[in-house]
Parts: sequence; structure tokens; C-alpha cells
Amino acid sequence: MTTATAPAGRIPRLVDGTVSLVRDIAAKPTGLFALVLLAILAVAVVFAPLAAPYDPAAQDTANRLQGPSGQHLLGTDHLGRDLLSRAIFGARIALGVAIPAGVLALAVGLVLGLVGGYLGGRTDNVLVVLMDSMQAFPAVILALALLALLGPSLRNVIIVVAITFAPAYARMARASVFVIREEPYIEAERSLGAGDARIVLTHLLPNVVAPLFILMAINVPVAVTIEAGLSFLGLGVPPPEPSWGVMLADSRRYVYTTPWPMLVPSFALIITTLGFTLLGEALRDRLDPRLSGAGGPGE
Amino acid sequence: MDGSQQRWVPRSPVVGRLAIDRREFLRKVGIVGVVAGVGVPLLTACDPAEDPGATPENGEAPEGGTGILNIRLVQDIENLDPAFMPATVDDAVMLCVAEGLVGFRPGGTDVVNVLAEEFESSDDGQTHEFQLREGIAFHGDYGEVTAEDVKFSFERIAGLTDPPIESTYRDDWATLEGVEVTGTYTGVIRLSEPFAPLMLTTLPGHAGLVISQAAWEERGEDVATDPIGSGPYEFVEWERGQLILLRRFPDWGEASLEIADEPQWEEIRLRPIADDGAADIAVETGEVDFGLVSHASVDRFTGDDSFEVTQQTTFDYGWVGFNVTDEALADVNVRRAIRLALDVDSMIEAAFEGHTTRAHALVAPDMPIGHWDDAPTYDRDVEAAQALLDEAGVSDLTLEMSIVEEPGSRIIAEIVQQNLAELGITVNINLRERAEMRENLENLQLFYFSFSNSADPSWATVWFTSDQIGEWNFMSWSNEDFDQLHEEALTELDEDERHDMYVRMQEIMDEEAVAAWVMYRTHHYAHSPNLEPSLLTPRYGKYLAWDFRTA
Amino acid sequence: MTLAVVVVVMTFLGVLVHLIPGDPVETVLGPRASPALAERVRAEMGLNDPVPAQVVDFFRGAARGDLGRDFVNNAPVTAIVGSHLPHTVILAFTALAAAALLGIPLGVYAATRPDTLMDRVTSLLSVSFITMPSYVAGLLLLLLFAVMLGWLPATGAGSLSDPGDYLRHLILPATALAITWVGYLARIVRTSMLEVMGANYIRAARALGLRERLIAYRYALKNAVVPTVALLGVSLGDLLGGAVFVELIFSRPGLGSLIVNAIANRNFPIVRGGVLVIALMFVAANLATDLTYRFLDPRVRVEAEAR
Repeated sequence: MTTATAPAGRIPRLVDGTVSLVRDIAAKPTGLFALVLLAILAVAVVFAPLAAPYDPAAQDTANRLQGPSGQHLLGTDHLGRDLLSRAIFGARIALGVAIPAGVLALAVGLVLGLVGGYLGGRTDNVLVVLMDSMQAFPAVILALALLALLGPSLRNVIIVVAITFAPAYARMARASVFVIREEPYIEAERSLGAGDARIVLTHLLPNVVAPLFILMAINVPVAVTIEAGLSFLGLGVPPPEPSWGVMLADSRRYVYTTPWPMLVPSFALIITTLGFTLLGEALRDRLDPRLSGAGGPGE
Repeated sequence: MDGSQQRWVPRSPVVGRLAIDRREFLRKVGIVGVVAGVGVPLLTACDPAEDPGATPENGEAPEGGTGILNIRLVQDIENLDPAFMPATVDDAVMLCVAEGLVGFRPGGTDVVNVLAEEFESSDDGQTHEFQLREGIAFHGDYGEVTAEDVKFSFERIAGLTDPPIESTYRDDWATLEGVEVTGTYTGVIRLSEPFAPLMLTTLPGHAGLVISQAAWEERGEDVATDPIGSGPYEFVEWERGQLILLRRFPDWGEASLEIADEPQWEEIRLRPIADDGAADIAVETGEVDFGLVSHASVDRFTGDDSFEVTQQTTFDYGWVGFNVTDEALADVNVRRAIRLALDVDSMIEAAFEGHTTRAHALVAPDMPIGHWDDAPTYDRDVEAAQALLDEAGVSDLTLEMSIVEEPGSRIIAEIVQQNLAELGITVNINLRERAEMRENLENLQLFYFSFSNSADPSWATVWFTSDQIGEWNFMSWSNEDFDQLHEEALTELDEDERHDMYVRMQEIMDEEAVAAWVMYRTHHYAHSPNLEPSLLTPRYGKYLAWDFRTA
Repeated sequence: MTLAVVVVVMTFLGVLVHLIPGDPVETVLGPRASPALAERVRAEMGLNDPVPAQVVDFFRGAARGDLGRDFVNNAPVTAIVGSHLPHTVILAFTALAAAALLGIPLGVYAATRPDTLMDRVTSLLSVSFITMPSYVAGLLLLLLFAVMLGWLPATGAGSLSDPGDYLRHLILPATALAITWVGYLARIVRTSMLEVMGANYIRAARALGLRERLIAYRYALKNAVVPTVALLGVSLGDLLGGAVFVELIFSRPGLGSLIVNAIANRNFPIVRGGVLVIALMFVAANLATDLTYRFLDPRVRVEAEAR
């Protein structure tokens, strides 16, 4: 039987599904923890201008490198900028790179996986070799090499991060396609005269996509880590953007004077990555128990 | 002319160009990190002559020396060939490995004979006869230092060998006709015109180092990282990015004893540590005995009794400049507005931890002449700046600020960015390579840069003349009065007159708001109180590693 | 198959420069490089030759072990990369060993006390470790052990001729790198063991005498071997990537810092050579893991063929 339902019925089901999903996740302590962390993050991202006590770029050199105080809850950096405000706006950058990159990687990987998996044969072989080659580089090295050529900018960082992730999505999509395309109903559809495009779009796509979203949730923290890492190396977002990676790089020089400029972005990164990872795992446990148990890095 | 002649007095009309030659030289030597500056020594270094323990006379210092000296370099060596040395770290190494006919004595500006037993100049300054000490050995098995080696060393830099080499420093030997060899150890340096910097930079500097012709011809390109000289230390090993190892040369001909006493070290290890933070830690833990430390940690070292900080003030200056030919910056009111909006005190505080002196004009206070005592101070005044901007009818400006990798530049750029944001000006920071930036001066807008400098104001003003547009005049600024004053001051012998001229030149620069002056540079070296460094300021703000002593 | 991958990787690197629109020399040296240098680079890289010829040249050279010459010193890239490589390899393998030595026992410990407080704590710790990027770990370790406590050196690698010193310099960087994988290994060991034995069985086994307990554990542990090996193989890539940051933070010489500096200096031949070497190491590691994998578990062999 086909899995397509009448369009009108889908949306309420989606909402229903999400609500019950959230409830299930919140039921477990780690899941709840993840949701709390992510809620904090969401507030930071969405309400940054309201939540941040200062303009993250506002300098006040008379008060530089101070520890936490009444005026600056988490202290100030080497230019007197408020660390809390910069951390909050840093969340925007982190997710502003990680999520678009994840979506882009998903889209590209999905297309490639669908094409390769469905068409098979030479096309598939070529794609596999290509994807494997890209995965032959550790993500950071690949990102570095690409950025070396493209030059650092927000847009390029997103593109580069997306490129490093795409192969994983492609493989997963392709694997799913292999499984599904052997299903009898696909044969049936074809014998009824359905064209390839239709089959791919209406049958393959919806079923392939779900695990990819899980992968994306698991990959977001990795993307955040890569962006911060690139910024740490000076190849990421340019100043005065308060990327957490830039904050870390700046803090090194003053590590003897005050540890706060280093602790604040570290903490921010840890919250973010921990939150998303725990969420990803909770999602995986809940949605697709087959995938859980390995505990290995998302592939 | 005996070897102790030191003051450079302008003598010939060629001098204008010579100043550029010297400047160019200093410029190139002062790349990345530690920068050159010929300065009147304002040091806290100990005069080696006061240290009795190390003189050979009382026979205490052993033949081979003892102990290992670890020094931090701000970057790895690139090319030790005197014809091509791109950076001061290369010079720091060669100071121990090679010797010249003459050399600077640490702690002052005295130039004394080194390899030359005798050195005599003609009255017209065009002929210089030298007689080498005999029996001075080169490292390896490359024999003795001979006049042929002197000829080779100097002529190759001048581009007179066959085939000629394109030495970076050919301008230091710009007027060299040739070196005539008159005997195994004697020769004559012939110049087509008198060349004043000869005794102040060329001969005592690295363009005057005498290298082994045999070694250079035999080793070819390898000589860049495995040089041969006659100095007290041999180049033993280079572990890329990690270590340059120099070892006491047992057969040293002791030509440099005029400069300083017998060195005490068995080995000198130079460690390239590019990262400031890592360098601080290396000094702190004793991994290196001596090194430039970042401004951020100077206070920490000063306050720590187990360390001493040696300060070396230079005449190097840094400034935020404007390309006056750029559409957006052509209006002097716009430039004045920007100048008024900048918070220079914050820059000194944040970029240099308050350890540099704020500059209000081109010439530093310690220069013998030319310091403009009454230079105006521009303290940040956003309202007045805004008013000027309105007067100029400018709003919503976007400017590109170019910087290169040097201490403090990024922080300064961020401060400029923030300061100008309050005027509604958006600033985009662009970190560039020096070579690339110099190729594209027409496209410059705002920039921060620093120049090395030496003890005469003409060596600073020359870079702002019309002649230098497209070269080192980054502002592409042209002013007839300024140019004329510069020419006249070069040949003006009355010091007071000269001083007034340089002040007037700075006034012109100020009226036209070509620069927002930031700082005069200071080096801070941290080391144990038991170590007495030896600073060689006239040689581009360097130190003489082999002359370091334990107290 | 692996060979195909290697070929593609090398072609990619050789062609990379041309994938970016515009003058490849500009791409490599940055916009508007000085004409003299640009010309030299063109000749150096053979950019005046047609593209396929250039790629073939690179191949031929690489097969001989010649990776070209760098831009700054005109020194052979192979030598430069070669001198930095050992430090990175040592770092990566030490981290691997550290991760194994810390992670596996941790996992066993947690597996033998399933669902207890210790188990949950270890679990949380594992996740925290997993999510911590190597540079954050490195910076925090530096802050704590080198700056605040002063127990361990913060810079450099020490000298290979003095193993004790070298080891001391290795501790913090290797730990920083290893942390992530301690977490993964702990989890996978725990999961694999429990998969086979079920929580109850293991808990019950604790009541048995020591010998029986060990036998029981060994059986469970066997199940963990295959995924652990697989994980270790995968980890190498991540370790090589993380090495970049750790080398920078601790000022260690190595391939990572070499590549980053080369990028900053636009010294493309080094970037190309270094990245190639890393890719090759990675592919080799994967191959080795794959083989070990198949050797250890006959089931996998069959599956792999079906893939």
C-alpha cells in the first residue's frame, strides 16, 4: 500500500506528532536536560537584542579584562566588551552557520543519494567514489583547504561546512533508497505507468528524509564546533562578529590575566553541543530505535 | 676615516636618494614582529665592560665556553644569505655566525674594526682601503678570510657578479663600482659617489658581512639555511619551526673582540615561537632564557621577582593613515572628522597594554632634532567629529581598513571600526599580506601601519614625499611645500634651522590630516635577572646574542 | 576501490585551484599578487600547461615522492611535510592509545554496574566528553594544568632525543585530543557488552566468584571488540583534524600547524602536499580498520560484499 495520505490530513498529524514527541523526550531526565539547554539557546538566539545587557560590539577599554561584577555578569574582554552579551550574540552566529549548513548539506546529500540510489549503475558508482573521496579527508582539513581557496566569510563558512557534511547524508539517503526501491509497491506503480520522477518524489523522498533529519540534529553540534574551530583559526567569520571561536582565540593572550574570556565561550560551546547531542540521541531513541545502541559518531 | 666615526652628516646632493636606500633597507629588514630601529640607546642593559668575570685577561672564561643560551625568535628563519635576508630574525642569527669589516659595539653607536685590521677612507669618500686581519678562519674547512671573499661578499650584493644576483639590499651598495683586490688580505672599495650611510648601515650592517666565496659557490642554494661565516658561532642545525642550533666555533679568529668580550656560551639555541601566548609561557617556564614578550604579559613579568624586563625604546612609529586620493577620503574635513573620532588612548591601552608611547606627530621625543613639542592632541570628540562630517556633507560611508599581521594591528582595527560606527561609518577590516598591499596602493582607504626608523628625522619624512607615491607613501599624498622642505633640510647644516624645518613639515602633515598618529614602539624582553642581555640598537633594534652574560 | 578514492582525491587536489572561477594564480596567492611572484608561481605550478597535463604532472611527481616546492623558501614540500609528520603521527597515536586506555575500562566499568548511579554519571560524562571539541578541551586543560597549576609544560614538543621530556610535552595535547573518543569508546563498549549480556545477567555475575565473573565479562567484551576497532579506525580521521587545533594551542610542530600556517601564508604547495598526506593516512587507516574488521568478524565480510 502506498503511504501517501490525503494532504489535508497531514498537517494536524504533524503537529500532533511533534507534541507527543516533545513530551516523550521530556519524560527522560537527559531529554529534559537537553530541552532545557536548547531552550536557553533558543532564547539567546531569538531574543538576543533583548536578552543581552550590552551591545556586543560596544567597547570600553577603561574596564577591560574585568572579572564578573554587577555591571558585567560574566566579565569583560580585552576591549571592554561585555562577555555575556557577546556570548548571547555568538549563539546567533553559531546556529546561523550550523543550521543553514545542515539544511544545505541535507538537501544536497538527499538529491545525490536519491539520484545515485535510484539510477544505480555507473552514475551510482561515480557518486559513491566521489562521496568516499570527500570523506577521505577529516572534516576540519577539508574545510580548511576549501576555505583557503574561497576566503573566509560567513557565506563561505556555511558552504564549506555543508560540503563536509553532504556525503554522510548522501550515503544515508542512498542506503534508504536501496531498501525502498525493492518494495513491491514501487514495481506496481511503475507498471501502472508512473514516471521515475513521480516515484522518486512521492514515494522515495518522504521515506528517505526522516532519518536524515535525525542526522541533522546530531550534526548541528558538529557544525557549530567546526564553525567555532574555523573562527578560532582565524578563517571563519570576520570581526566584529562575536563568534565563540573568535572569542576563544582572543582569550588566549590574556589567559594569565583572567580566565573568563576563555571560560565564557567554552561554556557556551559546551551547552550548545551537549544540548543538541542529547536531543539527537533522544530523537534517535524515540523515532528510530534501530539506529540507537551503536553510540558511535553520527555517520 | 677610522672605524669610530659615527654620526652621519649629509654631505652630497645624492643624499636624498641615499636616505631612501637606507630607509628601504630598514623597511625590508623590519618585517613582521620585531622591527628595526636605530635608536639612541635608552636601555637598561648592562654595559658588558662593567662585568669583570668575562674578560679573557683574568683567564676565567674557558676556551670553549659553557652553558646553553635559549632565545626566542618571533618567527622561523627563512634565508640567512645576507643578500636576501627578509627579516630581523635572520639577522639575529647571522650576528653570531658572520662578521664584517667593521661592526657596532653594543650599548652605543660606536663602530669599530672587526675583520679589518686597518680601514682608511679617502677625503672624498669614494675610496676605502682595508687590510684584513690575517689567519681568521671560516667555519667548516673553508679556509681563511681573504680580500677575495670581501670582494665577493660586497660585489654580489651590488649586483656586480657574473651572473648578477638580484639582492634585496643592492641599494646599500648603490654606488659601489667594485672592490679591488690588492693582496691576499688587502683591497680597496671604490665608490662612484660618496655614500654617507656606508659607515653607519652598509658596512656595520648585514650588507657588510663577509662570507666565504668558496662555501657560497659550493653550497649553492643550501647556503640560505646552512651559512658559513667567521663568527664565534657555527651554524650547526636547523630543525624547521623548532630550533636553530649554533655552537661555539673552537677556531674562532676572535675578530669581534673589539665589539665585545669572549663569549661564554657553548651553544646558542634559537627557538622560533610565533605565537605570543606560547612565547610568554616559554619564557615563564624557562624554556627560553630571553625573548620578546607580548605587551599583555609585560606587567606580569615586571612584577615577578624571578624575571627582569629589559626595555628597548625605538623610534618606530605607527599610525592610522588615509589614502587621500580615495574618493571618500579626499575631503580634508572627512579625514579630520575621522581623526577626531578615534580613541587613540584606548588603542595604546588595549593593543599595547599601555606600554608604548602615544604619538602625536611623526618624530619621536627622543630624536636628536625634529620633535614637535607643541603638536596638537586629538582626544576623541564624537560630536565635533560628527559636525565636521556634516559640514563635508557626508553620511553613510563604508570604508575598508587594511592591516597586516603585526602586534596590536587587529585590536587597533577593531577599535577604529567601533569608533567610526558611532559616526555612522561602516568599517570592514581586511587583513592583508604586506607585499600584496604594497602592490595595490591605489585601492587603499584606511589603514594602520608601522615603519621602522632611525636617528635622523629625514629618514622618516622621506617616506611622505611625492617621490614615494606608489612606493612607501601609502597615503599617496603630495605637498610641494613638504617636498621642498625635505630637500632643503637634508643639506641644512644649522641644527636649529633643520629642527624648525622638520617641525614645519609635521605641521603641514597635521593641517592636512594625512595621519592619525598612534604610537612609538617599545620592545620588552623578559629574562632572568642573572642574565645580562646585550642590545645592539643601531643595528635595527637587535640584540647581540653571543654577548649575553650571566651575572 | 580504495585506489579509486586515492586517485580521485589527488585529482581533486590537483584540480582544486581551477574549480574556483578566475585566475588560478590569483586564487592561490590572493587577489592581485605581485606580477613577479605571479609569474614564478605560474611557472612553478605549471599553470601555463593545460590542466590535464598539470594533474598528471602532480600525480607523477607524487608517485615519485615529489610533492613540488613551496612558495616561500622554494624548498621541497616532501621534506617539509616529512619533517613535521612524525610529531603529528605520534600525537594522534598517543591520543588513540590514551582514548583506548581510558575509554575502554570506563565502558567496562559502566557495563558491569548497569543502571546504577555510577553508570549514569559515567554516561553523562561520556556524552560531555563526546560533545567537547578538541580545542575547548585543549584550552581548558592548558588553563588548568599549565597556567593555574603549572604541572605540565604548555608549549612545544620537547626533543625526541629525550623521551621523558617529549612525553611530558605530549600529555596535555594527547589528552585534549583523546577526550572525545574516551566518551565514544566508553559508550560503545558499554552498549556492546550489555547488548550481549543483558543488564540482569551482568548484575547477577557480580555475585559469582571472581573467575566466573571474569569469564562472563570476557564473553561480553568480545562483542565489543568489533565495534571498538571500527570506532578506533574512524577516530583517526577526527584525531588528525583535531590535531590542527591542539598543535596550535600547544605550539607543537606538526602537519596541522604546518597546514594552517601555510594557508595564512598562501603557501599553496604545502597545503596541497600536507592535505594529500593526511588524506592518504586516513585512507590507509580506514583500509587497515576494514581489514581488521573483516578478519575479526566473518559476518561482516559477507555484509560488506553485499554493500
